[in-house]
Amino acid sequence: MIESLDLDIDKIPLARLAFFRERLRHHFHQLILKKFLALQDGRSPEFTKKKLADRIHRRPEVITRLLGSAGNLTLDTLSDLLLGMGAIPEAQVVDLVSKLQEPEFSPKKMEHIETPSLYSATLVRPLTAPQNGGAATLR
Amino acid sequence: MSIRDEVNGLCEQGRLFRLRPIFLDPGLRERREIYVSEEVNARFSGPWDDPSVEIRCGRAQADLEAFVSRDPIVVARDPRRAGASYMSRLIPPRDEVWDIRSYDPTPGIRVLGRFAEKDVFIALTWEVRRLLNDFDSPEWRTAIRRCATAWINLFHVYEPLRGDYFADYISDAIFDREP
Repeated sequence: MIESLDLDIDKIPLARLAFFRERLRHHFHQLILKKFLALQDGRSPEFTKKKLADRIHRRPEVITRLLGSAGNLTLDTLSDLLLGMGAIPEAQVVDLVSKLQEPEFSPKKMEHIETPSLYSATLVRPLTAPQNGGAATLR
Repeated sequence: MSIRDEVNGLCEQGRLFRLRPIFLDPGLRERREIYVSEEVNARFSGPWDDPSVEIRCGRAQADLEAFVSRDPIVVARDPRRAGASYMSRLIPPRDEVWDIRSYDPTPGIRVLGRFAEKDVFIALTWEVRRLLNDFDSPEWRTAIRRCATAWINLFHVYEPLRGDYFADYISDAIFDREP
């Protein structure tokens, strides 16, 4: 599928276009979520979803939805959310060819990934009372 | 033989496909692994019935790929009140069936799967959300059983990962709750 992005190809397949649109939404969503968590973890621990909602004229449940997933994130919403957190996005354009690494369906074998666990104690059992010892929770 | 050997063997047989980002945005790295079944892979590789389906599948592929590098991932504490969380563990928990949610455009898609190891998700079945009706519906139960059966067909005696904490399954996850 990487070949479908070559400049010599007359039409990029619709699935590719849709894939990169969604990927961009995820990228921006990541920026929003990281900014929100950074505020809560840093200088504004009292900065809640409700406060953000009030600042940008939205309902708290809408903020919950927007922070939960990339969904149908628009440029307007991106701007509003970041501005609500005292920030603006910056964008840059890079040549895709220079970024490609490997085919998306790679024959590379399963490997062990060592990842530091930032959030180490969040109970997942859904029918019990939530216990949240030191876990990161959107609030 | 470990479940890791099993996954690698299934990849060599063309029964599982490792989904990897074709590039990573600055500051991101491959912190998790996701493998898709033949059923899910077919949605991504086409052919598709019409352009709207092709677009739908392209977006869903990006949603699944996000599992590899997103930091953090938002996980629903309760799948019945999942809001717009990225993923959740379905009920009953003993089935160890999780879903990754692709919300837009309509119809929403749920890709069901299980964890082979921490940070290693096996995406097995593809479901159209509106066809599943309400939680606890027979359609949901059928979908969960179908996922469990797909697991057994691939992994036989190997059990999925079981845990009590999000951190048992996923690094760098946060869990969501209503405001």
